[in-house]
Amino acid sequence: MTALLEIEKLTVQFGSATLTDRILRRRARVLRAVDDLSLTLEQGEALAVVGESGCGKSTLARAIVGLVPIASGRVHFDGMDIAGGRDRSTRRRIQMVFQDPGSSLNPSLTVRNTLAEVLKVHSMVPADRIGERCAELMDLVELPPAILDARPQRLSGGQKQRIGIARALAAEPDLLIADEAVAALDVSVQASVLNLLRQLRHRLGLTLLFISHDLAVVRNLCDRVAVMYLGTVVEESNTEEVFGNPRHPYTRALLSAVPRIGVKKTSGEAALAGEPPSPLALPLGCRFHPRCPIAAEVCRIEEPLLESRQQHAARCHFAWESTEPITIGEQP
Amino acid sequence: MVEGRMSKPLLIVEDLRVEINRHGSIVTPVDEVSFELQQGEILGLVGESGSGKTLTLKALMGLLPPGVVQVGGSISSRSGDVLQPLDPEKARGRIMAMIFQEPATALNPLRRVRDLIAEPFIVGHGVARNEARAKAVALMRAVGIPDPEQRSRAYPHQLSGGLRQRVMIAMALATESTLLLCDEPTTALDVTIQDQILGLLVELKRERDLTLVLVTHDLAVVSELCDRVAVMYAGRIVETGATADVFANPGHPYTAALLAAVPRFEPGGGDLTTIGGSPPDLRNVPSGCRFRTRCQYAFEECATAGHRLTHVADERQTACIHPAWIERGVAI
Amino acid sequence: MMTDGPSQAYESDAVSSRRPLPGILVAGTVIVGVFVLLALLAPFIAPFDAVEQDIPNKLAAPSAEHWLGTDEVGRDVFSRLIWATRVDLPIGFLAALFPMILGTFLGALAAYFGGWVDFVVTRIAEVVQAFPIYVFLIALIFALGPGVKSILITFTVVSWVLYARLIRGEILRIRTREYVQAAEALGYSHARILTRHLLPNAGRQTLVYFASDIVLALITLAALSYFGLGVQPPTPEWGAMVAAGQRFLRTQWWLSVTPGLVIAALGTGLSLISDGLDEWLKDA
Repeated sequence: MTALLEIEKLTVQFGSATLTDRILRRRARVLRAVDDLSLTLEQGEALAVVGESGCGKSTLARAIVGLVPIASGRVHFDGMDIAGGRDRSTRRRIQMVFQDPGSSLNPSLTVRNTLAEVLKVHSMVPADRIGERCAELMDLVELPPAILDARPQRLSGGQKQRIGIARALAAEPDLLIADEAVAALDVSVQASVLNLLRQLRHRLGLTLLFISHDLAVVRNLCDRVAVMYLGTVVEESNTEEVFGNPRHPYTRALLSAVPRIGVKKTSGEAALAGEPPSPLALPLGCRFHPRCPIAAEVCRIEEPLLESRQQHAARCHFAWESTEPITIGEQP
Repeated sequence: MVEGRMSKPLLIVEDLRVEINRHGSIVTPVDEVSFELQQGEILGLVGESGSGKTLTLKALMGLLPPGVVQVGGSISSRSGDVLQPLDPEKARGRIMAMIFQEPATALNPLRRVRDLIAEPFIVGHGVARNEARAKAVALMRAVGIPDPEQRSRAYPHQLSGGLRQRVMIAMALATESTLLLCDEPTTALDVTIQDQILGLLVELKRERDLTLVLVTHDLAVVSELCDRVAVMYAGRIVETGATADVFANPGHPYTAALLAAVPRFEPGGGDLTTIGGSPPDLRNVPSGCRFRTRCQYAFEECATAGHRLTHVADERQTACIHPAWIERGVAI
Repeated sequence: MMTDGPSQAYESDAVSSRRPLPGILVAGTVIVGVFVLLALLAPFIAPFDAVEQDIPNKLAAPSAEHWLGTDEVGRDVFSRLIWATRVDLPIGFLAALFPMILGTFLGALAAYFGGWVDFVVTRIAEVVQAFPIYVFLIALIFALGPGVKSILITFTVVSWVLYARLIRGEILRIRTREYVQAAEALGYSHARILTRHLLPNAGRQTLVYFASDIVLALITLAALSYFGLGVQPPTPEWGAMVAAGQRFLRTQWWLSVTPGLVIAALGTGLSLISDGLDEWLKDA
């Protein structure tokens, strides 16, 4: 396997020192949405990035696509450094599917115009084949060609999301990033879009970066999982390892907090108390320690590194204290 | 659950019908919905978008949006041993209170938290302002808001989503209502916060002997929290019964299909089962059973079938007339 | 179970005709359409020449020959009203069109590029707005000398600001929409993103305002002509006709009132179009 995307010590921040900050010599209010994050994506795999809102997973996606500037770190895509910027043809090779089907399509363009624009701008096919290619794309996302002449407002949420996928595929990307791509859909529609993504991945040999807060969806679709908390990866391994043998207390809490069919809640006990602190003021030491049920003295002082054992990495001082598999809650 | 039928229902909804008149064409988003709510239970109203679950709840509350009218049916509530028609105007804030999906927009942004929570005490029970504020702080503690004295002076926007939802719950409790109508109360929250709020509802229900109606699209949340469930499709209830029974052994093809479409928290990712087609346009619903156009078990009689719920076992009703599905209900 | 789901989901209903035009939009279009026809067909409809004087027959009362009588130099009022359509209509339209083009261009640049571009455009707009609008208009026309050209220049300089603000606000609002981000991710050029993805979706308010701005421009033009700063005699122009007829308000009241009514009718038509557009485009 070769790495398609290699991210090393990536930092993305919002806000910077203003003139007043500099005059008053005070510390700028900088929000580090992504903080010292490293991640590798192999050719052809499906990696999930999971975490709660504000953990930086969407910012990570936008940084990889090039929608937000990178403050520091290395991002290598197919051997090229793209952290500082990228040319149009490299940009084409990383595409994104967005969360909100209601706002991800230009309301004044028909579906055909939306798709044809991608094909034209990047000269994907000769001009006389554009119509044909549009029909092929519709076929790929399992929509009838009649929809090509509709405007988005006439389409259902599931159909719009499929068009969003078709638009990304029109650019024939190597890496497809899906940012909460099924979160806004109804259960039955979500199932069909997930099936579509799985099929497309295998048919087109796509590499998939799947950003989601929904662990059940992730388990269904992805080979590997990276768990993010406050801007950085706290645990990463293949899906079965993360779900079956989680080593970071945050992952464990996240897994047991997910409601499951067939498990009734009988007490008010929660998997995790409190709420994440503001990313403007990260806690010293381990960033999870204020909420951590097993936090010790060392966690308040020293930030743990992402330590790896047999392709399973966790950012916790106690991740490898015991090698016993840890079971969570009432596993069905 | 036999004792459930013996006890007297707190609320009886019969043939509730809600209409929207838009440019002269009438649609019926809630059609002949009937159910009983037992004292001390949590009833889940579950369905996909457009199923009519939220409008049913709003009709109970007498808070239908402009242009949407209840045109038929009756809602009666029990006080003591007498059943009488429910007057939402009078019942709101006395015997029932509502918890909304989005506390960010449901809380008056210009008032401090303590005044928001104190208001029902002052308005509804004539408590003096200072005493009401003290009670508000006590309620904030009861709903698990840390540092309640300090936070009571905050404005809603200064709190996180989870805390705002706790404030909304405290406001509902301040009315001393025993019936809480919850509209997707955890949909906007992160999974660990959702876990906390669901736990809080379970605890409060037990401590204060509350009765809850929970509207949600999330089957897993229903499974975790609700004693009974009513599954809605295209404006009608298609099946109702004890949650565990219904989910283990669905008695309507729609319930079964919906359950199969949910990604399970289990290893292995195969294709998910999907439901063909999409919910009917409410301006043009199929005759007879509204699910029949998407149902793989549909047979001729479905086009003329009545849609009344039929008892197939204790506590178990289904609208499906197919013998196999009635059998399944009986088989429990 | 079934994979043909999504195709079934596309019901025939979805391709049915677009929603109906609001009644007021139709009514407004009919009214304005009548004025456009009058302007086009003026030589065939107007019974008399617009400027030909007939002093002996001055200030005549309405009659079968002169439907609305004659003015102080014996010109047929009815004919002048019709000929004036050819003057007022284009000036009103252009006096709103030029500021719209300039304002949209500058507002879009400011919103899209932000930074110093935004700073400069916003500051210039503030300077223009700092002056009371009529004082500024009158001063500018004095400086440029009365006439159609200076009227158009003046209107453009003064009223682009509102268009710029409208479009700037709208673009800032839709910039964060995911389809704009998708366009960026696809590597589209700035020009393409602006013209195809932002402007068509940001233009609704502008279009609505444009229709009502024509009314404003016409009323302002009438006021300027009233002060002698607008269209110069003997060219027929409604505002100037109101002004000229004012002296005879007690005796020949129709000289002032009829052009006033004509302005009001056209204004009503344009307002109906403006409101109708607003309704029609609301959630399109």
